[in-house]
Amino acid sequence: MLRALRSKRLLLELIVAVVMCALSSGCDVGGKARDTALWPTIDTAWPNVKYDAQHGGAEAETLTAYEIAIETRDAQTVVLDWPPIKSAALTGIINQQQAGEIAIGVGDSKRERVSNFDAAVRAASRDPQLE
Amino acid sequence: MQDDIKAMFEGMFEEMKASLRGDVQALANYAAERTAHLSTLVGQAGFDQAVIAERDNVALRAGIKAVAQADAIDARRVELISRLLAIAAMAIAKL
Repeated sequence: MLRALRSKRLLLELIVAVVMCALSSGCDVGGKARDTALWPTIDTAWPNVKYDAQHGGAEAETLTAYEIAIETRDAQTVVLDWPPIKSAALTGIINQQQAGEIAIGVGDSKRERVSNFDAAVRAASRDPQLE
Repeated sequence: MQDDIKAMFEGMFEEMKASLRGDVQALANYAAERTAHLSTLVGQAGFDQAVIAERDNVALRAGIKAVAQADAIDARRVELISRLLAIAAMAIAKL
């Protein structure tokens, strides 16, 4: 009986250890994925999205403020300030096509990037209302 | 009780493995699709920009998938806690 009690006690200790680990911030897998996988891809794509937004008439101040929000990992601002920049980027792509700078298919690639960037900035935020 | 815990972990690992495999396959398909699109643009105006855009597309998609997987793991973690606590409560009741 003593043996059975000891075995149950060990098991309970194991359960407590797993629960403590699971509750600790060190086990925040989603946060780590955002930091190590998502934000770096946003960093990489941003200058190219910004280029398209500039061609769509986005104001320099708006883009600079947005860049700072990305650099400081301010997810809320990055999500909330994104819609007008997205519109400018899409307009910019059309403008580049009309000016003959890029072919229609190249515009499709760029539009796909805007769409992926859109999903990425939403995923960067954990707020379901912002996603 | 040991069997319950073992079955719980095994079930979760199997689920995670299947989900990860599906996501890796979906990402590989996406990369292939974008490469195929890029191959149709060779020699067209702005081709170099399309190459950069497609590189960004695959990277962004991978980042999004990684976050979705990680969030799913976190959700399973919460489920695991509640199940472990239920098992612990039963074990305590039997003591």
